[in-house]
Amino acid sequence: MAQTIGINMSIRFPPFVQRLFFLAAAAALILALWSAMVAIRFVPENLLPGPAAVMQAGWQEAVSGRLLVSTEISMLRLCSGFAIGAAIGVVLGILMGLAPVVRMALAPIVELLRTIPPLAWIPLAIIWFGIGEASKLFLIALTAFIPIVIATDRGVKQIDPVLMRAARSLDVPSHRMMTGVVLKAAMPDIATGLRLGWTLSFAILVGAEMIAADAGIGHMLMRAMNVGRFDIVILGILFLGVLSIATDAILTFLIARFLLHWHMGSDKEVQ
Amino acid sequence: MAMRSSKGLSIASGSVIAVAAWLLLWETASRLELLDPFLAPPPSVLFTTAWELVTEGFPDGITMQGHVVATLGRVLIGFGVAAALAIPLGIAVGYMPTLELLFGSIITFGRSIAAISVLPLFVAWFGIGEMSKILLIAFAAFWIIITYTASSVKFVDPMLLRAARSMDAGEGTIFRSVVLPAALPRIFTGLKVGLSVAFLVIAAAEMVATVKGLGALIQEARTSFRTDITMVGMLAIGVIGYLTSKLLDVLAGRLMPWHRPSE
Amino acid sequence: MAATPRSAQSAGAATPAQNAPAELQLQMRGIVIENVTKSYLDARNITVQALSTIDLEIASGEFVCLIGKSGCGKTTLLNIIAGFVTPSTGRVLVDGERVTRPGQGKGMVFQQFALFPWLTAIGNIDFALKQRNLDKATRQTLAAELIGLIGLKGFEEKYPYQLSGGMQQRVAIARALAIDPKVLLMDEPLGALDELTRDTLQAEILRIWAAHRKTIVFVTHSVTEAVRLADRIVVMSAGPGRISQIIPISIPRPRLRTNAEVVALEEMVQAALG
Repeated sequence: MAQTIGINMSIRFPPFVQRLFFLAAAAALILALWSAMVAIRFVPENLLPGPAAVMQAGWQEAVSGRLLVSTEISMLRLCSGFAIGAAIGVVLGILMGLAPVVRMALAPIVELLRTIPPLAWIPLAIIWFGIGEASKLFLIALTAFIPIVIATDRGVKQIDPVLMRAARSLDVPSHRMMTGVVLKAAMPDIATGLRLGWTLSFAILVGAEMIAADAGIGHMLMRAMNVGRFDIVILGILFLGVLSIATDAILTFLIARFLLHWHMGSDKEVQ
Repeated sequence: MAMRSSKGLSIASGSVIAVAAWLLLWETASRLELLDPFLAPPPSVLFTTAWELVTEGFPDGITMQGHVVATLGRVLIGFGVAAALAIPLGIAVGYMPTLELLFGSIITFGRSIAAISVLPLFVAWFGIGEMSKILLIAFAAFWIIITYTASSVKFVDPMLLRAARSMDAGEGTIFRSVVLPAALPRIFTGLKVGLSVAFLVIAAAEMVATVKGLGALIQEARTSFRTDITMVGMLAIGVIGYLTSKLLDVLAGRLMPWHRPSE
Repeated sequence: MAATPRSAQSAGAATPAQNAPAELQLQMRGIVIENVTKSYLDARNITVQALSTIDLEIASGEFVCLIGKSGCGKTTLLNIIAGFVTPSTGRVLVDGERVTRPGQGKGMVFQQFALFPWLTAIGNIDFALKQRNLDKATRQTLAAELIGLIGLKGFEEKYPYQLSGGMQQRVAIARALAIDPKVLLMDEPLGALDELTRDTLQAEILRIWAAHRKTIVFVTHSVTEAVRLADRIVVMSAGPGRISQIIPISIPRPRLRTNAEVVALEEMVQAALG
């Protein structure tokens, strides 16, 4: 429960109306600050276009279809990389959680991987896979893999032994144990790992596309900077923010709907 | 599965064996050219390379120490700025529901912006020097730390507040002696996550327009086809990230002796 | 039945009722619950009645157990007495003073202990003493006394996580006593403890009560516990929450379960619970 402390709201509107009101107020506040920064020439005008100019750029990019193409390319990359990383992460995580030998063998590698920031892999990824699609997929898959394998291992390790014994006493066949019991029981942790993995790979995608790519939103951003179109740069930043929130919401919904429909409180925030 | 009781020493020795086995496997595979030694130089070469970096340096004679100091300096300044702003603001936002309603959505959005995407803007505004890198780190860590701080204050165990109220503690006392200490563990978690994000963005930020810093080192090494240096540089980023994070743990232990060590 | 207010001279020097004549003041001691109801709006804006009219008087120094199944409103009633929940109608007086907020000399003990994890055992007790604006020497003396009272000498400097559940609850009881409360309100205080610890702590609570004669309102769902502890058992039932029966107990303590009277009483309370 969100026990409110300190100053209390005295106005009583339906929560939905209240939230909408404050959302509008927050947006107005940001727009006002932004406009003020433009007005006082915080930086030269071409480096900080105002809200109207950015909206206009957004309209142009949307109508020309360029934004859609970039988004498609980026999202396709993200989804494929994420799927690879998630699949390997869940499988290895389950093996680590169930078999101490596998954990012993893989734990040092996972520990090493988690200490190295994913973006620091960019040069090595390029050496290994060139600057084509493969290096980006590798980076995204690796980024998603780390939190997912850790969360899955933790989830499987924490399965109540009584639950496993109960399943065995019911003569559940061993292949059903995996899908019917282990995977299900560890799912709340796996779901947390999936969401964290998604958020991180999203951030890494942008970085990878900025440093080494010829298409995608990150590339759009970098090219815009090089030609001095800062309206498009700001548009790209904001668009990526919205996209990140939207895709996280979709993923959360999918998890709640298909993976954790039996679990209470699965709509909890990751952070 | 019944072997779950293998604990303590056996796990420690097990992971030592595992590490040794992996290193040996890698070394052999690379020596026998099962792995291309250019793509995956063997551990023995990495050791020599590390020594070379410490004594001679790369590129232009910038030693490993020089790179570490450059990176660490940027991270610590940027992270310090972020923490100094985000902790007090986060406490205010978490403590006052009206502020939370107003700024909550801004914080959510700020956290959702990929910090790297702001790099072009910062480079244009603040130049390609130190300023843009430090501010990028501060920007990235700020949203994380403020998120954790605000929620730490907002979700203080209501039972503790009730207990304090039942003892006639005033709002001021409750804020200072209950809310703040109760929020401390989660604020530290936020600092740790913020620090890891700081290392994440610095690695990328240093790949653009600089020769000093670990990010620059690994990027330069790639263009000179020195995979060994790239790998050593990556490990160095990992090691200093790990050590600074441990430092935060030590600090947390000092500040919160009452906190259950196991978390 | 009701214990004589032995602590009349020592307790609560600064009640607002102090300008009342002495006889009247004596009369007003204890807890008076008058015409208290509680209803609230649920998520679909439908009024739910949690408590229908409650009238109850608890004498000073009396040990009362509120018992009932979940949803009967016993915790709501306790929270109204404590001042955490405002009643929809009616009022609660503690020693003649109307309850408007928590504090005001109402000591609380919670099921989940609610100790401040960043303070040691003695630090938690001292937190309560500090709110009384006592000087340091007095606080030290009182804290040492309370530690002795709950039998935790040698554990003063331990943090809550270093103490067992039973020990933590002892500290919480000492902390509640440290505000020198007029009444002690206990919300299923032994509910989170194992059977053996419960047994010991029930005896401890009776011992402390005998020594201090604080008025105690004790919420529980255990019939055995209520029969062992209370001067009066207030049985509550749900839909809407109300008092269905009040059972006075005159069996002298300690009330062993080998005593036929005790067993009979337990059966009676069980029957009243339905």
